[in-house]
Amino acid sequence: MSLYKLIVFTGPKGAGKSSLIKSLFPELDVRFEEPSYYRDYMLAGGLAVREVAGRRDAIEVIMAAIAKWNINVGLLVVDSSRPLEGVAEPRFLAVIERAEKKALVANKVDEQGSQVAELEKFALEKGLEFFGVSTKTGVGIEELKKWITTGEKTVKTIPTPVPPPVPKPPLPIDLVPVVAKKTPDKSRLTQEELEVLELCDGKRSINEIAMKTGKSYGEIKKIVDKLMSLGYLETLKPKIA
Amino acid sequence: MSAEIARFLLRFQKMFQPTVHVLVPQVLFTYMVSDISQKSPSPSLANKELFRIGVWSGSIAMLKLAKPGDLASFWPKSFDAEKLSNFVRIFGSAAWYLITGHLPKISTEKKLEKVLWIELREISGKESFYKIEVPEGINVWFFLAGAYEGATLTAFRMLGEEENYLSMWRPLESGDGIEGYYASREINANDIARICINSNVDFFNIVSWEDSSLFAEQLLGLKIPLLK
Repeated sequence: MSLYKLIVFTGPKGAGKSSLIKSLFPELDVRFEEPSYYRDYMLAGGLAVREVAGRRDAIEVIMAAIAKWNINVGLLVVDSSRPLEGVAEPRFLAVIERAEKKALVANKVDEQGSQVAELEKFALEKGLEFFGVSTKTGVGIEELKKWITTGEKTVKTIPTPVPPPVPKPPLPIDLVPVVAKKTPDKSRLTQEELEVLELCDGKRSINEIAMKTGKSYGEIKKIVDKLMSLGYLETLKPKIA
Repeated sequence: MSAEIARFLLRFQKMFQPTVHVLVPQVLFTYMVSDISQKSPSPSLANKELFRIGVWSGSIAMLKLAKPGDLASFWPKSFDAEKLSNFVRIFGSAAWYLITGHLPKISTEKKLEKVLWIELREISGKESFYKIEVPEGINVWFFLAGAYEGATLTAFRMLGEEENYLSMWRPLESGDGIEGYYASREINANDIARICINSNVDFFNIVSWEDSSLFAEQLLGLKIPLLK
C-alpha cells in the first residue's frame, strides 16, 4: 500500500488533467506533457497528486499495481466539448474504482457544444459525483477543491446551459402574411421591409419572422401592416401559434 | 313546388332569426370568452384579456377590410373636429357595421382644441356575435372596445398618421356601446387622460392607459406616450 493518500487524476489525453492540477494546486510545479505512466506531485499533510497517462497501454500496465494504491480521491477528467463515447471507456473508470471518493470532472464547460447534461447523467449512472469546471475561466475550481479537501459539496457546480430565449407570441393566434400575386415596385421599400417581405413565404407567421430576424412581434407587425397597406401582401391568414 | 316553398320559408325565417353568419361567430366567440373566463384569476383580468385580443382582431379587420385610399379621401389634412366627426360617422360606422353587422348611433363632442370625444351605441334589438350570456363580472364590450382601439390605431397607421394621433376606447357604463377619443399627439398625455376620466370616472379602471400602451407596442409595434 502506498504511503501517501492519493488524489488520482485520470482521463483521456487532452482532457486538461495537468491544467486542472495546476488550477487546483497552484503551488505545484506542474509539467504539461503526458507522463509515461503516471506522475506524482507531493502535497502537504501526507497527500500526493497522481496524474495517470491516458494511453491504453499505460493504463494496462498501471492496472496490475493499482490495488496497492491508497486512493483517497479519484477524478476522471474529461473534455466536456468532446463526444461522450471517449469518456465512457471502462479503463478510466477502473483506475478510480477503488477510490474512497470519486468524481467525474467535466472540464472546458465554457466551450461551445459542452455536453454537461449528458455527462452529469453518465456520472449519476456510474455512482460518481459530478463537477463542471473550466480551467480557463476558473468556473467550478473552488467548489471542486473544497470537495477534494473536505468532502463537502455545498454548491451545485454544474453551469446549467442557458437556452437562447424563444420569444413567446403575444397571443395563441398568429398571422401568416401572404404575398400578393402582383406586387408594386420593391424599390420603394427599405432594406428592413424587403427583408421581411422576402421572409413572407405563405407559411411563416409574424412570430416566426420575428424569431428569424431577432425583432419583436410588434416590430414585424408594423412592417407587415405597411406592406399590406401598400399592396405587397394580399392577405393575412390566421394560424395557431 | 315544394322546394320553392321551402326556399321561401327559409328566406322568411332569416328575417326573424339569426342566420349562420351570426350563429357561427357567436358560438366561437362564446367559446373564446368561456375559455378566457376560466383561465383568468378574476373577471377584471378576463376583461383585460378580452380587450387585448380585441386590439389584435380590430387591427386585422381594419387591414383586411379597409383600403388606405378610401380612408385618405375622408381624412382631414389637419386636426379639424368637424371633419374628423364626419370621418368617424363614415368609417366608424362602416367598421362597426362590418364587425357587428349593424350600424351604431354615433355622437361626437370636441373636448379640447385637438381632442374629439366619441360615443358609439348599438341599436337595441339587433342580433350580433357578441350578444351572449356571460358569467358575472365579464363584459364582452371590452372585446369590442379593444377591437375599435386596434382598428383605429391601425387606420392611423394606414393613413401615415400614427405619429400624429392617439385613440383609446372603453365600454360605456350603460353597457350598450363604447366611448373613446381621437386626439392629436400634440396634446399632453395627462390632459387626454384627464378628459377620459372626466367623461367616465371608471374609464381606466380595468384597462389602464399603460395597458393600452403595452398592448399597442406588443401587438402593433406602436408607441403610446406614458403618463407622467
